[in-house]
Amino acid sequence: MEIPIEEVLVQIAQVVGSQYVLRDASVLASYGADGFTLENVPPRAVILPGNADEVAETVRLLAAAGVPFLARGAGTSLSGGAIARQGAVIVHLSRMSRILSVDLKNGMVECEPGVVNRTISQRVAPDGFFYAPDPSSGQACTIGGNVAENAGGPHCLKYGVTANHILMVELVLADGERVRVGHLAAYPDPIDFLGLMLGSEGTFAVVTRVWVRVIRIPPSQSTVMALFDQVAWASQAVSAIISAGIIPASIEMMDQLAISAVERGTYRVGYPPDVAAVLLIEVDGSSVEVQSDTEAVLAILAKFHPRSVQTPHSEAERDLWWANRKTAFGAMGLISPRYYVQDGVIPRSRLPEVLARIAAIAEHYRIRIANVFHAGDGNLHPLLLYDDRDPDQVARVIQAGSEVLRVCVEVGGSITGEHGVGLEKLQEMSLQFSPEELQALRGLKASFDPQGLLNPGKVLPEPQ
Amino acid sequence: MIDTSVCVHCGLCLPACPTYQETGMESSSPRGRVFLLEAIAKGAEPSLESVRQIDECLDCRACEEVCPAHVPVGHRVDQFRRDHPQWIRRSGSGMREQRVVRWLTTPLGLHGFHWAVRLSQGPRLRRLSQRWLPLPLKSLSRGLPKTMPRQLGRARWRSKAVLEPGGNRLVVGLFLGCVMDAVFATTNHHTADLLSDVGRFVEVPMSQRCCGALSFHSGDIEQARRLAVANIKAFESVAEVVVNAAGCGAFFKEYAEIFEESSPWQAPAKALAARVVDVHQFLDDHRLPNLDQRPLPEARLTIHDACHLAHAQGIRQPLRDLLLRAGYQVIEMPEADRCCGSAGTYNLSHPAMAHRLKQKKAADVPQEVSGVATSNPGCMLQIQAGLQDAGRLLRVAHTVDWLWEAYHGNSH
Ligand SMILES: Cc1cc2nc3c(=O)[nH]c(=O)nc-3n(C[C@H](O)[C@H](O)[C@H](O)COP(=O)(O)OP(=O)(O)OC[C@H]3O[C@@H](n4cnc5c(N)ncnc54)[C@H](O)[C@@H]3O)c2cc1C
Ligand code: SF4
Ligand code: SF4
Repeated sequence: MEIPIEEVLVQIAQVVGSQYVLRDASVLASYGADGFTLENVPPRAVILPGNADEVAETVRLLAAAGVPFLARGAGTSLSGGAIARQGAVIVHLSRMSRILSVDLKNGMVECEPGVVNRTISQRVAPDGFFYAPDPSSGQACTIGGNVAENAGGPHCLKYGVTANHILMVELVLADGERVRVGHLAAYPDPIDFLGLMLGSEGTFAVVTRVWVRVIRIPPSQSTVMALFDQVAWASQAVSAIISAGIIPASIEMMDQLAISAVERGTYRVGYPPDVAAVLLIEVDGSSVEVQSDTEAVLAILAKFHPRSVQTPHSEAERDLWWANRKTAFGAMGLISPRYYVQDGVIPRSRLPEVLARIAAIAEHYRIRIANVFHAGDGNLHPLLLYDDRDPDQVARVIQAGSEVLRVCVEVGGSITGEHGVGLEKLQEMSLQFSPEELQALRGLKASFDPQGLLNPGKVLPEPQ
Repeated sequence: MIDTSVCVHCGLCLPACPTYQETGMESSSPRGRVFLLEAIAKGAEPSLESVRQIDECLDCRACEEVCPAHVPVGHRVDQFRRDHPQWIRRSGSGMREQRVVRWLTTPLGLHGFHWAVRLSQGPRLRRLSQRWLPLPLKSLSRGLPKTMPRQLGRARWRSKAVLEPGGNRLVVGLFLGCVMDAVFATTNHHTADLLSDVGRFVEVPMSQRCCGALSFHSGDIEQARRLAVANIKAFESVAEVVVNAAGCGAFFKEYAEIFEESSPWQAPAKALAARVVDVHQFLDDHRLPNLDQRPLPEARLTIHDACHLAHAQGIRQPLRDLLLRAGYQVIEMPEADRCCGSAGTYNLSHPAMAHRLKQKKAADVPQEVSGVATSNPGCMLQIQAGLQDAGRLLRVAHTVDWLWEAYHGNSH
């Protein structure tokens, strides 16, 4: 029996408080998109629970009435993961943003899902610890969203992605039941349910609590900046560093167009406007290690015709370099009304070739593409610039984006490194998975969410 | 207003926004406000609820500071308030502030305000005022200083500075402010003293007026322009204008934006903006002596970074350096640069949110401090009131006042 949504929302209002159930059409419009701006659908309603009990009760009521729903953190998803499709209701976890406990003896922090990524490191930094996964959106994105997207970041080259740093999560399943998966002792379950949850993009369950691992800040670190007149030289240098057996904490690269945007932004480094690519390489560890790695990196860089190579003069300068890099996406607003960021992964050795093909795609579709990437692990972020007031350009951008992903798959890579499939890459899923594989994934989803209520219209394309 | 940057909806600004922190709602976040404003610009008829959420913006600029494209959300909301007063009025947050502001920014009104405040500090009126004032003002009036000093006024200030050896007279203009001069005139006296200490002759032009920020933010752009013109003329002859109220300093630095591109006042406004120096920056650059060996009675302070100093002018470190050099110990409070909710006339227009932010700020003041240093009259009133409400007997004073006490003793 269908219960009308109005009635369900009244019941939910009694649980969470009526001011935390949003129905006003104009207000809902502000929830129409996340960091992905090519689609905009306002949710049917937004609910802001204050704690895990309220989430469970909310989900139970929604499920009983057959109303689809999805969790939302900070809405920084770049694949439209937090956009409500098929008349779904948003469960916004922004009010659940407390760090519940810190246990440094066991290197563990217990968080509500709405805790902002960067605040975890800020909290434990005075004691010499940090939370390693550092997406560039770290100042805003939430740990719940990170778990859902299995987020990565510049430092994941050495430290691994979110999955490597989550000990246990508490979930509300699609019917409102609460369970915990994973272990604080970090020994594996016979079936790795925790692993299943990581990167499931909110399609299996709602995360209501997360126990993350924090580790010691390395005693020493050093950043090297190298400027190149050819992108190919920069990417050859990256491959050479990795094949020399050095594992820097991160290797980041930006091309000329990307540089022109960040240099207009809040954090200006002063890159020469005509430089083709910049590499930022950070090594960390013991001071002996850092010194020998830095020397080795400098020696390798010198072989690939850098225009200049330098190390920062101060902590502040180093921070500036990184702040500049980390705000690259947002700074696109200074050179284009909108951007559409792609997130392909390729074998590092194919970088020069793939970049050339991306440039050709840009030319063919008459758009500009800026490149920012986690070069160390071959994770590309081509930023396709467009103006949303020009429908033809929007169409060209979408086609170009898809073509970029096709190139990634062709060279043996994948269609997403860290931003997820969301609603953006539904079509491209079939580039990477066979119909049988997709059917198996649908079966998995159905075993967690038989009614198909959780984050509908994401990740898995409808069967043809 | 010049507005070249575009919001790409990245969401990086969300956690910095005090109203989003309070409500958790996208619609009361910077990005949410941009969304709502974009929809309205495209012709959508906004609901009163969404107007209310837009209008709840404090113009604290926290979002602008962290936005990679420095999208001026606060400015845009201001623009919206000016363009659509009818919606703001209907949404209930009223324009009564505009009338108050217009009166307040005339010399007569200021004088009246000064005397009203001065009189209301008498024990009898104080008690009375606790009865008749509207609730938000009641709490705020508890934040007023107990005794009201004489205004530095537009009287000529006789500088105590000695002539430089070379015979160069180093002159700076001192901007007095309206609320600053009416309620915290001591701070103006102290500012003048410290400027003399670093060898400056202080000129206080008689014809200066309110900076115009209050008028501008309450939607009265014409009045703001008149005031700006008066100030441009008043400070024409001095090479540097020292400002001690964060809000006024930030507004001066943006003077050019309130005039049309084609206005003949564009260039002079820019010229004045370039000559304005925040008092902390000035005293830090021109080095007061180092006293950090000398023990001070009220030695442990915490700092509240005023929005229009930290976010709008990017000035944070000089306050800390100055207080440390003067012999104070600084104990940081969490999120020292989160808005205290005072925000110009926000107390009048949005009492509920102002109150929440005030309580939160007071709760953030560490237990072990003996005073709070900040740099804006509104913040001083607001935080003092918040502490008072929480039953804490701490003194809130301008950084300049704390410095003056260190350098000139506690006797006046
Ligand atoms: C400027 C910028 C830079 C970025 N850089 C990086 C980067 O370097 N690396 C990277 O990996 N990503 C990056 N991202 C993408 C994005 O920040 C991440 O995907 C992040 O993990 C999303 O977190 P969020 O809190 O914003 O989640 P949202 O966007 O709100 O949600 C994302 C998905 O997670 C689900 N979800 C959210 N919370 C929960 C929960 N509690 N339980 C279940 N499901 C939930 C949602 O349903 C949705 O499907 C960047 C984004 C931007 C805008
Ligand atoms: S205002 Fe700036 S930080 Fe905020 S969403 Fe827009 S571009 Fe991003
Ligand atoms: S100016 Fe302040 S209150 Fe307004 S949107 Fe920005 S951060 Fe929020």
